[in-house]
Amino acid sequence: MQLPPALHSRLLGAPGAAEPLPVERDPAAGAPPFHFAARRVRFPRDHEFFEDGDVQRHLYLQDVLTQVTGSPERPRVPEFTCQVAGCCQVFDSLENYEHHYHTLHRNVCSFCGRAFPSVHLLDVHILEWHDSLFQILSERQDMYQCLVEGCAERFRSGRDRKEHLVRRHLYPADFRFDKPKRSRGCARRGARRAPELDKPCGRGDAAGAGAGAAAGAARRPSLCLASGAAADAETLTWGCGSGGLQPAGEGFAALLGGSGVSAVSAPGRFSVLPLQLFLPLLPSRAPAPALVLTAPGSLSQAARPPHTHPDFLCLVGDLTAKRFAPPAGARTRGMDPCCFAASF
Amino acid sequence: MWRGRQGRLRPVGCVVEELRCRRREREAALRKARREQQLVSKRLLRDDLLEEAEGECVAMILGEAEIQQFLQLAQRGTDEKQRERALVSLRRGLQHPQTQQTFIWLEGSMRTLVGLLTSNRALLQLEAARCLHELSHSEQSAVAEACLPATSYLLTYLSGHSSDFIELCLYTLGNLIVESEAVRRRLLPQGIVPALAACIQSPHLTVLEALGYALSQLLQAKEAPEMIIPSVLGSTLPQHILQLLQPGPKLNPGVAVEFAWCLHYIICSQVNNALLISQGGLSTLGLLLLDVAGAVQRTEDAGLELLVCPVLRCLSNLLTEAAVEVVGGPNQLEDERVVVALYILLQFFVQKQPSLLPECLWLLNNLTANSPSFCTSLLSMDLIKPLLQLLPVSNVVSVLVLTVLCNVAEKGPAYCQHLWPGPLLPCLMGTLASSDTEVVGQSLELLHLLFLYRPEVSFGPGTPILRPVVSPWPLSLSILSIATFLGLASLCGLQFRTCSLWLGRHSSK
Repeated sequence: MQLPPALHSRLLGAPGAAEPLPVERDPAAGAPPFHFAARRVRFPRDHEFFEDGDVQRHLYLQDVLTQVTGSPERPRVPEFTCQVAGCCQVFDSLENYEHHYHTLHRNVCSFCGRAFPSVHLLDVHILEWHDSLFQILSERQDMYQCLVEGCAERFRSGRDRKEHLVRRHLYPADFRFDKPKRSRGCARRGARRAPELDKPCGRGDAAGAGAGAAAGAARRPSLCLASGAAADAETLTWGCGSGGLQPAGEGFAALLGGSGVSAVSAPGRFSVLPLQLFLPLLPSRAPAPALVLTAPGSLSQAARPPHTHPDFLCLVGDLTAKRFAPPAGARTRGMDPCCFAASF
Repeated sequence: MWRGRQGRLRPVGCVVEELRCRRREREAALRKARREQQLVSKRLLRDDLLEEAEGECVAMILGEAEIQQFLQLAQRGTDEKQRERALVSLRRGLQHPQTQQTFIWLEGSMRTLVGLLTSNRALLQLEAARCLHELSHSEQSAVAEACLPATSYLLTYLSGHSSDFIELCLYTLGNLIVESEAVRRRLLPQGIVPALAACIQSPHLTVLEALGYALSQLLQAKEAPEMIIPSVLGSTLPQHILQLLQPGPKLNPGVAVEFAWCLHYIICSQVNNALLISQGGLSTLGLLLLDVAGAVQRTEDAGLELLVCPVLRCLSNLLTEAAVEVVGGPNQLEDERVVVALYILLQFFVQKQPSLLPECLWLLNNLTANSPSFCTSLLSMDLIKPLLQLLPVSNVVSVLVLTVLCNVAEKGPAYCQHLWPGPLLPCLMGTLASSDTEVVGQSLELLHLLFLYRPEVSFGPGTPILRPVVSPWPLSLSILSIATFLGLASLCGLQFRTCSLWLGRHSSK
């Protein structure tokens, strides 16, 4: 098919329309037996006119045809460690690291260290778990928002919201990102885990804290701090990392140097104080604490002093009142040099 | 961009002829499926680089015990690497249909997989998602539908930040969407449309392409015009789609292909094309056509027809909307460069993809039908002769070419003056002798218009082309034509009547 040479340069030229020649139609043009009428034609989706193009499209989907553009290069890199303080996961590809970072370090609750898959779920969590004003307002109006993008419904309670998710949105009843906030005295299992994993403690499958979970040979404790109502200290259980501290028979009471805040727990259970109390003392860029050790007392009943445990890590920050050098043998795992040991 | 692969169970040492044969078989199967309205295709995202690194690429059949073992290891293994390896082994096994069947019938298997998908172990999560993706690609409905417990999580993860993971979730969703209406009846209340509308703002091209794929699958559904397209049009998706189709340095062909198909399905449904027009759909698509024609001129890029086809369809169908009919209105498409682009594409497709010529000519018809300006452009830019060169391609192409010529001729004497006489006559002699009644019919329509508006040429003595053929008998041409018609047994009665009336009409002048 030969095209006029000037055509190609016209494509690159300015937009414009041709000045139309005068139109003069003769009524005899459409007189029978002739019936031509200039008209725009529409074809519906399933018309046979589209068969060839549709077949090409589906061949492309099934990858029999060539791709439209080439695939991006995916360079392999030498092994490197996650740079987030407290995380020792090792990677040999940027894509895996990217996913790890977004899963564990991106949308992290600074109060309790839980990680969420999206900003939206994190925001909902902070509101419903850590905002005392929310608690007050929820007694008077519907505050629990639906988790589904685009649904503006609100509910009086988490349970109503769950029912809505199940009935209206066909969500599973055990949707992992809609865990109810646990109240005092709830069961040991699963209460303080990261929301994604619902496994009982102690079987070696770790619950993840906001600071990150151990990987490979680097073992880390993965504990979450509680976040209760501002005035209450909650008693709850916690998951432990592989080779981590065992909850049975141990108890802790929170101690915050200089603040005078403390609580003593009974053996077998432990209590922690609301994390909000710790936050003002942390340096602005400190990671969320994974563990706050407590004063002695109940610690004498511990089977093994935590500070001698190989997985001991304390990330509280620069608490000058109670700063201790790590005891000999305690490994800091390349963390921020703000390591503490409780004095016993 | 979609990574290359040669099939799920990749054959080793496949020869070219075998590939061609497979392609022909697939084409035939697709045509058959389309005629039965069962045209469904899924996409498989498999990282070839990853598989090469892993070594063996052959899918293994796993038994119940092996699957259980891998799941247990993945869930409770002491070592992180060991857990990952278990899932990788499971994933490779799931490439085989038999393993897939065994897996879905194993009690608790899907629950465990979903548990791993939602775990906080990032690499396990990725591997679990890959396992799910293999299952979603299955041709067996039971296998794909067994993935339904994961859909709420797949949708939740779309609002995350990990581009690879989101891409995987989107392709998995796209495969599940197309599985059955039951699956879509679950995904719609789970909020798939708002989730996609939020995700389309991602800056990652791979995510966008995957999203376009998933959306195109959703829009292809039979129930889409009633159940899906209204909510899609009510969201921010149309604006974003048009933005992604805007030509320029940021235009990515892989992404554009998917969203062009999305637009095609939306426009065909006719739910609210006026909205698309008001959002600048016509001008965006017109500029895109120019851009693609420019690309075709510069390089011999394979695969551009994948983008051109839906763009042609969108433009052509949009032009039939009432909103466009307002002459001189803001929604009119008037830039003659669109015609130029179309001709460049016609030239390209004659060589590369003749099966797309009819769709190009269809757009040319819709551009010229009601537009004296475009008809004038065809004449002033000397574009009639190139059109005539397409006549021998096929009957369908001939009819369309003749229709476009009729569009020009019916506008009156000023137009016919440029058409007739000229190279048109010998071409028409050829088409009049066609065995296809539609070709002949359209040729007669054109001749009628030409003789109506240029009577002095048809039978006058001053016709430079006719004289050597018909002199000293001006009517001999017509008689010869009629004799030819009458000689063709396949002609229907209308042709005879048309011919005789036509002969009578002109001979009486």
